[in-house]
Amino acid sequence: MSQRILLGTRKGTVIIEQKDGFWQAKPMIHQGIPVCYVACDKRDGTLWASLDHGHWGPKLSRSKDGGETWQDVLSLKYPEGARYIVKYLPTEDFDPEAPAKEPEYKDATVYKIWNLTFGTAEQPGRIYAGTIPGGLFISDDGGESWQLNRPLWDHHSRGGNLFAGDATSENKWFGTPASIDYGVFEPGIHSIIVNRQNPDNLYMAASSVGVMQSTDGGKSWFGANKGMLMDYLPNPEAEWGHDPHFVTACASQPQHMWQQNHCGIFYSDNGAKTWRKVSNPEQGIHFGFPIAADDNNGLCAWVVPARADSERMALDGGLFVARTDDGGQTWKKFTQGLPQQNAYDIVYRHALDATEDMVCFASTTGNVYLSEDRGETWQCLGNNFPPVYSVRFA
Amino acid sequence: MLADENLHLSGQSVSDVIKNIELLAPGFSHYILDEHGQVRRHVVICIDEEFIIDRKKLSDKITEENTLYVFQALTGG
Repeated sequence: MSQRILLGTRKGTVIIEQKDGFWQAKPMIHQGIPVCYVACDKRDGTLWASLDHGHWGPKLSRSKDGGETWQDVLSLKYPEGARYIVKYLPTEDFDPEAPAKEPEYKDATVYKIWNLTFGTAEQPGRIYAGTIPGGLFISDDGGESWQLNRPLWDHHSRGGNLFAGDATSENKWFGTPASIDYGVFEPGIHSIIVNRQNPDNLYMAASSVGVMQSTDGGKSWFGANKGMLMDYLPNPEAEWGHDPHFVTACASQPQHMWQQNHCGIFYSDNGAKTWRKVSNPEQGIHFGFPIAADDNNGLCAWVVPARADSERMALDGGLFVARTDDGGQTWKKFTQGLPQQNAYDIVYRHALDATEDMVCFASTTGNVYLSEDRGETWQCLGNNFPPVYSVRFA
Repeated sequence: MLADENLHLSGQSVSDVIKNIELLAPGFSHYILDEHGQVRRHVVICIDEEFIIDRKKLSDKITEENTLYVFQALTGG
């Protein structure tokens, strides 16, 4: 059973450990630095934190001694010649059907290392990193060096190979509001999934883009959004422009995939060949950011719903977690141990995790909640943490 | 390793000086410059009391009589 929970927060990294039956947070690590993602590479126990330095640029930080000492890793950079087509935040007079203007190009720089995913045991040293502005980086030496995945960067949905010259196709990738902190409106890769049974089968998801799949280890990519529905563009079934907030899969039944999308909760039982909406708005189970899949049962997932895209807060001043055990046909709501008054917390996309019977989530209000019975009852692990960006069991 | 030290370095431009610091402390420049060598958005560099003009190529001239400062820019609240 996991005995550590890793938090990435607005003010640093927190490790919460279980000792003698009690969960206790250790002193803050990376003090004062926004940490947008923290995770453990369970192959060798290395801890990784993605630092969002306000001044000194995004950095990875790595600990090989369980969090006692950390070293910055400076090698994740866009290569010379990596360009992208600039996007601008739509204004009130934005017309999605207006003809495209001449593209404007910009040299890529890392704004945010938003997500890390570790390869399988058969791929020691393989790590994936998703960034704003929409680059997938791959390391095969435990993070010492990183390569931008060119087939995805050069994909026709982004304008083609901009290393070689100007765009040869239209850029269909929109930006994410999460990039506005950096003064830009660019896409971000927040979800990376490696099929544990066939590691050449990869998925990545980016906000306002959709899900993309590779079946050849990243040599080629294609959209995997069939069945997805948008409610903010004229064609709800358009190939591009979908807004997954987080996408995950059952570790042992990876054809079962789950997506908390801007437009509801979606489920696929065939490895993203097709998706279907499984929200239940009447129960308040529709909008939100995070989703967690059960390790062993592909039909089971958890969400922490929020009110709506226009009202990003808990529903009716109370928190609940919903679980499905039947592939989204029905949902059970759990409130025991969670506040039911004066709670307006929002839970970010990486701030919910599940392993075995344990589920943990944390909010931008600095509250951390843990269930050890599959989400049915909850205990509070603390109320005064900084805003929490990520929660991962280690 | 170089914290709180005054360094005496040669160089004819800001770019030269930063390259020389990088030799003393490998990785230093990644904290103040992005991967294209441009000054990061929330960093400022001054020669004596003047902000440098060229934040992209760091071509501002400098002599050994000048002092180069690197600051965290005043941003946020």
